[in-house]
Amino acid sequence: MRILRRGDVHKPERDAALYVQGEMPERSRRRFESHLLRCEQCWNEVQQARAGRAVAERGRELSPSGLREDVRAAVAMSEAPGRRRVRILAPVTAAILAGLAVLGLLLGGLLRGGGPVQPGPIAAALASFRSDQAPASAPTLQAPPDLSAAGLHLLGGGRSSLGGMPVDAFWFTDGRTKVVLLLGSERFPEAVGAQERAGAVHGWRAADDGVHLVCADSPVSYLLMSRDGSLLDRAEFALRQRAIHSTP
Amino acid sequence: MSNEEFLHATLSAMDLVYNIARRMVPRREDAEDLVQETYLAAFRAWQDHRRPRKVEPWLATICLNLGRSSYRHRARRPQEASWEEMAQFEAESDPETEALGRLEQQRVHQALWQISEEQRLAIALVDLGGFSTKEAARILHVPRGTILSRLHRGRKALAVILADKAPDRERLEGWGS
Repeated sequence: MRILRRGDVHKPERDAALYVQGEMPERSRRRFESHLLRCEQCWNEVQQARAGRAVAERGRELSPSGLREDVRAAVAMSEAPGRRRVRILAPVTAAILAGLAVLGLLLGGLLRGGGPVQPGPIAAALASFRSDQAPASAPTLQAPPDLSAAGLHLLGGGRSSLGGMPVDAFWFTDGRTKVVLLLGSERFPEAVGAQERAGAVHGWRAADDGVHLVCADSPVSYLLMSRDGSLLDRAEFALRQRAIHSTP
Repeated sequence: MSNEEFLHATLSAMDLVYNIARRMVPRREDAEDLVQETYLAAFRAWQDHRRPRKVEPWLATICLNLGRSSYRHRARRPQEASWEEMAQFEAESDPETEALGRLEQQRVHQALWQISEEQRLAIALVDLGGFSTKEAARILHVPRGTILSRLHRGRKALAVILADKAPDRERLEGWGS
């Protein structure tokens, strides 16, 4: 067995780990690679480490979609005195705690003179939008609308419940940013700071920390969200054209 | 002070924290609790104006400390918990590819609970969390050489454990062909 360099200590495990990890300095890496061709022990260590690393990486998991909201609620509630933790044990418990959270925030906001919180469906829609995770858990009831007139193509969709409100969610992109369309069977609640829309469209507009929202309840109830306000307008125009033309 | 600022800075690290938590406690629901505890502890520190330059190593350290102090006594025998979860996955009617992927994920999870905790945490930080061995050494308060050794031995052990289970996997994949 050859040593790597005069004076170096031959440590197959350490060297293989560094090499497989890609943390070996360039000159050392070149030396080690030529050493690998002559040292069966190091060669085997590298092969095993690579195989193990590939296996380990297959164990990577995404956090459950509901956990993000649980954390949001827990952090929000931790600001209220005497309540620092949410544990979602069952849907009923979750509903009770969510109600308490909303109540606590409303009371806290009133007592502190702070702003009101978003209604449940709007808060859930915004959280889903920001997390880049579609809330969908089942096939949609409605077909996705064609928004290609706005330069948008469909990424995916699904049916879900946002804050207790059943919706069909569709995710679109223009290749640069995304637009989320939610179709509900009932009217969406007004977002905090919503401005009633002028003209023939009955609905509202709002913005929440950089996310624009437009909502209308005719000819169908929908909520559109995007960080790009002008893209949102184009998307709505395309949606309404399509809805108007397809409505008898 | 708005908690949105905190959430905006830290929520992107949730998958990382979750993956570490899953290697601290074998049961999924305990891991989810640990993630919540981690974020709450981090938020309290944030409110005290203890704000790190990088949130990922900070959250990882909090998660590890909490996992060691609060959750250790709750951990069940690893194999028992993992098989419970595996049975749950096998019973689900996912599409075939997704089901196989998740089953594979569960096998890796179970294998990770068959190696030592030191090796498992080194793998959780480096292979699952994406930290360098230097960062992992700082988080775990051990020399870098120790991390390299744990990482290497853990990876080798995983490869051996999963190689032993390969026939099962091949048989499962054969069902779909």
